[in-house]
Amino acid sequence: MNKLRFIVFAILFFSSKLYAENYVNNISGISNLAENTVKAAALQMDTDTNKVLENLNNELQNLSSANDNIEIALETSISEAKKAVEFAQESIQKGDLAAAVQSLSLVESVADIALTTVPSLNVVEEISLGEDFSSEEISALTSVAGQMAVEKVLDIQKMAGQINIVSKAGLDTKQMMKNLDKDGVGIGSTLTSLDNLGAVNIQNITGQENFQIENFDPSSFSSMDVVEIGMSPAMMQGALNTLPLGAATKALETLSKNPEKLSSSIDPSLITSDALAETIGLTTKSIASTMTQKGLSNSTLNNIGEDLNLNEISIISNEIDNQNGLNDLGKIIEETGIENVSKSLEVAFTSNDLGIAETISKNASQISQALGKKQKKKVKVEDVNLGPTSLELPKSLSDTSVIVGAAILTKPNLASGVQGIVAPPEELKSGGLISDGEISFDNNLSNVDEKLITSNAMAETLGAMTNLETAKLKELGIDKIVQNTGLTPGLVATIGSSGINGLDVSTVVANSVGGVGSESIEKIGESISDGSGGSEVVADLVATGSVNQGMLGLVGENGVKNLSEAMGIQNEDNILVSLSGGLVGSGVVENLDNINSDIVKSLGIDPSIITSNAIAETMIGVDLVKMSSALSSGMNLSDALANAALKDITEIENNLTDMALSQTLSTGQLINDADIEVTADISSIDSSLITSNAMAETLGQAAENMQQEMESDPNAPTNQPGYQAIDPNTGAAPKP
Amino acid sequence: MRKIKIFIILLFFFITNISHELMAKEKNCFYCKEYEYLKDWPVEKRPSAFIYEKINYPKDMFIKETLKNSLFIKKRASEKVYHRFIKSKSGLKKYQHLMIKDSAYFEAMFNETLNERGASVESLENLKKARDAIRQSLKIPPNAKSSEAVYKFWATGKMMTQIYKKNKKDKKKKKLIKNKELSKRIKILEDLKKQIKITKINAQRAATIEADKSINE
Repeated sequence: MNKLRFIVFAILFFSSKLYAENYVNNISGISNLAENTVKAAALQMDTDTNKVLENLNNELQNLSSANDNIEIALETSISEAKKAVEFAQESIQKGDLAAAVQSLSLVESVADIALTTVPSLNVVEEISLGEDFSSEEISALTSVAGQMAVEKVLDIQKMAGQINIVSKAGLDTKQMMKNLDKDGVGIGSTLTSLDNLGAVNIQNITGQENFQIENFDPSSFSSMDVVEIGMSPAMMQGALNTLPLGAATKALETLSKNPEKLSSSIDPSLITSDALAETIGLTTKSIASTMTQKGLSNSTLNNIGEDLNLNEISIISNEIDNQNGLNDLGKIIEETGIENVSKSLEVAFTSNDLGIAETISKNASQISQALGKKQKKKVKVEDVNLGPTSLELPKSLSDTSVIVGAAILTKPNLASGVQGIVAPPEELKSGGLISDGEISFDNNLSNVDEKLITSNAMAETLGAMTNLETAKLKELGIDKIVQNTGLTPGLVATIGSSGINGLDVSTVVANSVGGVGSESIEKIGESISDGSGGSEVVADLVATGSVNQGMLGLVGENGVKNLSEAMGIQNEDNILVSLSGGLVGSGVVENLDNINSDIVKSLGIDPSIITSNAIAETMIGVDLVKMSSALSSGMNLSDALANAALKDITEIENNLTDMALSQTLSTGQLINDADIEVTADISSIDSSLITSNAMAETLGQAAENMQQEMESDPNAPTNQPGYQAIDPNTGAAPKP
Repeated sequence: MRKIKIFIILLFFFITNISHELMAKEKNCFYCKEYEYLKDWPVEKRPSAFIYEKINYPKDMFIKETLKNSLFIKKRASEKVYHRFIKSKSGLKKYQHLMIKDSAYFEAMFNETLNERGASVESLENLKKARDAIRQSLKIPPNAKSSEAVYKFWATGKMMTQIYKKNKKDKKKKKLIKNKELSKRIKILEDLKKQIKITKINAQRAATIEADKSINE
């Protein structure tokens, strides 16, 4: 049966050579290795997609007719999802892998929206803030809602990118969305809920007050930043807290060039020139405040303000420093109308579509699980009973094969583009070169220093990462396979290690290049490259967690040298560090005195207490990306250095893949163990509270310490006569 | 020669054992190695996370008498934290709304401890790690001020408590959630998501396995 399937597949493939847009054929032209690899991927996808459809058809037979609106909505979603799976199948036959992968991803997005409409005990139909909440509490709730809503905006921007690719490939996504929206489970319904919340503005997105799919340009929407999307100033503060620094600088850039984009998100009754000017000023202040909270220094903030002609920043930066971030938000809420904000909050906690309360509950659940369970080493995603089963990876898989496998599927996987609100480079946005399936060997999609793109640096880095001679790389066509992605070899390795371990590749790339598309961040990068930036700017980048793989590529050889030396690191080869994303070629911290003391101070670390213990772990090298991420997440220098220590790449097999996975996980936020199929050894991945297991360890230890302290204290409440435990019915603690 | 070899082996084991013991005694903290108590640690040398902040706590979080003194606040906050996160940690999943609300007391306990000259730096460092982990439930950055975190936990906890109370009485919704036909449709969509995820991972794995084979041929 399998043989027959293979023959049919091969015949279809042969006949599909007639299609000009055939990614499988186009990439097969590079080399035999490319051909074998891409065909293996396509064949596997074809086999699995068939199983998915077969299983879906079986499950559908067991359904009775739908009785209520929710059942009808879910059924519509299932039906539209089925069409997308069938379209994926057709696309595989045509060799259009981008359309195939994005159709499958669209199924996930459609299912996600549908599942959030299911009634939940974390949401109520009606809620009134009334007088129960003080103005400070409303500010706090608004900030939390903004932080949570941004996740939904990211999902919907990703979905729009998928729609863009799939509709161009021929699926009638307009009709699909109309059908889904009719039952309240389409992109329009979700955008309308986000509009009610103030997280987006439909007028900004479609040019019309109400959402109509005919006026919706998915590619344009997917590429918008937080100001362009029409996010209200009140929601923006919370949203920017969770986005990279570059997302905030990009927002300031848009505010400076196109302030009118903010106006449509303000209550029309409040629009007078004074009110508008004041709101723009307050929004600027709110954005600047989030930048300061991330650890950006006043002088860099002022420089950005001057560059963008946002004079308010220089006036307000001094007062921002010592303020609670919610104070500025409180003023914005007052200016934009507290009634509007209260309504938004009521929407936030009553709307199933937004899933804000659900997300809070899910995160809280991870904390409660972490506190309540013993640490487990590995968690595997359970295979469902029917449908495709997970392919087992051989233990001796080489790093080279991980890079090749990733590179072959990079364009199909990323064709929907990286979401605009994380400020990625232009070419990585929806509709940029990443969405183009053509084969090209001179694209620069992640804003890598041009000097490195035009030299042999890419091939040499690839050689160092794979331990293969340049001649062998060329013979196998690996150099061209990787060049076709338009990304650095480091990013390709990261995509490979994440992809085979079950992480969402587009999220990983968004984390790796987020912020690099902002002009202000580019300028900061330039100042580090030419040495004019000084130690404070280096500290700014490190402290704000802005040193990602994209940044290392952007600053190039000189920039990496200056960045590393300021951190006391002498690299063997700075080009290698730049293009491998810090995975290869990084030097050690030989002496703590070599770390620029200004930087240490800027990071809030007392230089006099840094001991040699802190460098003990770094004898092989320091991963700058992990270091920046660890310090920005509040880790002390000693732990950050231990966390960022590299392993000897020449000693352990598959080390590069493990290191890339470790770097990816360290820059992620609260990754659920169930989202990762952990097949690699993650014992070396620190403890920066990345997975709920690691969190369990930290919280468990803290709880144990607290318990010991309390029990040994004779004045502790639990040691007093008349002590009462928690009420089992309400969970309430005793009253004071 | 043989005796020397045995001696070297024994010496090696002895040294290894001693170094293990020393490592075990090593404190799992950073600043505590230099400063045992807060009074030893000058404020100007501390990272901002270890500097006390005078907070106007949300109304109803503490009674007036408690607010008179930082020590009282710490004591009451510790009591709440002990109850929620230790004594009744098995009920955290059921009472998530209360866990979120009581995380505000965790913040208060940490902050008020920073006002105690005799507080142990080691304990504070351990507490901060736990505080940062708990902050992740509401995506509060580690660098955010304690007051901001207090208000976020308190207000969100209040809101979630209102929701919990309303839903507890909503029998209609509970019935709807248990509806078998609805559950079947939910399962289909959840299965579909899992299968699509496996399909995408498998494509990447198949490409990698084939590349490995082709390179080694």
